Amino acid sequence: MSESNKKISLISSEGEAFEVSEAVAREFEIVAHMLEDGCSGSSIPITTVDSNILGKVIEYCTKHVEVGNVEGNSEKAEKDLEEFDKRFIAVEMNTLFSLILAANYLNVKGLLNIGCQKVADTIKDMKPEEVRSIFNIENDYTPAEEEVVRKENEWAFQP
Amino acid sequence: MSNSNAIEPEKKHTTHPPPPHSLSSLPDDIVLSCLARVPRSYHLNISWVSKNLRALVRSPELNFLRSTLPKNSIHVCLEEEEDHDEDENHSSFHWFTLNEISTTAMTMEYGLVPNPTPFPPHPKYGSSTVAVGSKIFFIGGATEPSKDLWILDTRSGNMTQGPSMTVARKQRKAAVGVIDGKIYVIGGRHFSFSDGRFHEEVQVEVFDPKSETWELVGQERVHKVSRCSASVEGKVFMVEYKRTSVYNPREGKGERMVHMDMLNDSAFTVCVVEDVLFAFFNRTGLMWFDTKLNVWRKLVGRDGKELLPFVLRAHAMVEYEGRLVVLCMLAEKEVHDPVTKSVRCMFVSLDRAGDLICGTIHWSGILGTVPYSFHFLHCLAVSD
Repeated sequence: MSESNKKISLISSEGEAFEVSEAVAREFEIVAHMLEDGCSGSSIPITTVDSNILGKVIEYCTKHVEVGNVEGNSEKAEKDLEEFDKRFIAVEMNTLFSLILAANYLNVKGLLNIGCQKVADTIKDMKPEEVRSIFNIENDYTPAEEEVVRKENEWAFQP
Repeated sequence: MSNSNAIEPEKKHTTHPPPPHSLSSLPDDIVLSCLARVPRSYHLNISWVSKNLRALVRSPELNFLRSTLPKNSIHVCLEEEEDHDEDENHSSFHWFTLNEISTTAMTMEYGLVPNPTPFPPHPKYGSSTVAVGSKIFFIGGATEPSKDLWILDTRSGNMTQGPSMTVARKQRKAAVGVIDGKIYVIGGRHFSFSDGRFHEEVQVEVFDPKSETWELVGQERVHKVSRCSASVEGKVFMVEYKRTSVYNPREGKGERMVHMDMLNDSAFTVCVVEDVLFAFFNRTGLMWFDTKLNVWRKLVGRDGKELLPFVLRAHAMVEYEGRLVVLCMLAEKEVHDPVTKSVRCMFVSLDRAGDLICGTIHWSGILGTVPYSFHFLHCLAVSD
């Protein structure tokens, strides 16, 4: 079981090295696959993720590995983790998008899940114009097309 | 990279400004998995943001993604009163599932079919019920107060007895709701009359289906709790004549129960669709509860006017794939002395925008015919 103590360096796009345990690195499925494919190097470049985001993804994985190792009292641990996730994902939109992209690239399923859920929760109760400004989306409807949408959905566009 | 230590950063944290990210900069498959997590009733509103989002909302890919989410099936329990004996209740219960029946490649019909896994006959089917996961819980007594708990596993069709409650309760008096996977049981006792009102102060009990244990969580003053109860936003709502009460387990002792004076009307049936509470009132008809302003509201139609003749009758309601399913039974009119009733059903699509909910009929039709002595007892959405 000496492998569990093995350290691996993940190198961010800026070249900064983050030393993590193999268990944490394996939470990145892309890294787990590399290790299984016999990639024995102790440092793995993560070229598309910057230090700030990589640090956060490592924080997320470390917490989840820690909690996964705790024996007993699973209900409390589950609640703790839920709380952690909630706090962890309460970030501004740019960071959220970067985290989602990183989680997608690194294949960290849990993080991708809570990221997508956060977008879904944010988007659902908003007016279209609010969604546009918060998510930085251009309104590509022409005035004529917009008029048609308004006509078809008078109920939603009442003064 | 000569040193694997993270202490010596070659560059300080990002000095350049972060790239101008936008939702549109995410790959479509990620945007789709975000959209799949948005309740169906918000999809139309999102489609107004941009043409790209509209295309994604309407895409077959999104439909496919949603179809891979955990599914529910609707279990309907009909009660047949075989004997109108005053002292004893001779009822038999008939379980059905509401199924999609494709008639042609293009059209979809629905029908009530007997359960593939038959449920055993059981006298406790008349108790207060609630579904958690694939199990249905029968709490308390049907006609007489009882502390019993019976658990029906809809997958195997096995009915087993669970641990008993501390307080004996009976149906149509106890309110039940599910919060964080736990079952809250409120009220359900005989009333006492004081201050010109019926009052009771009774222990709220919580059942945790995981540990299979009951817990007492404090006395609450309950006025006249009907069986019209459901949970939304982590609270149990009880809809009664002229009053809507809310039980919030996260509040401190003595502050969990809030009673609000409401419509001069009583509700016949309630249901929750995508965390919104709907109730069918005897006179006012179908309404939804606006938890921001604590008011009951009517649905609106496409033209923005209130939908008055929208749903005339509702004997049972349930959620199915983000839609509101309204069920009722009607005697066949052409027969002078009717011996059968038709079970009618309406699937209502719901679209939210701002503080309005627009209802449109997605499907309506007859699910089947039953003997005149049948009536709705339960209608439950159960995980497959």
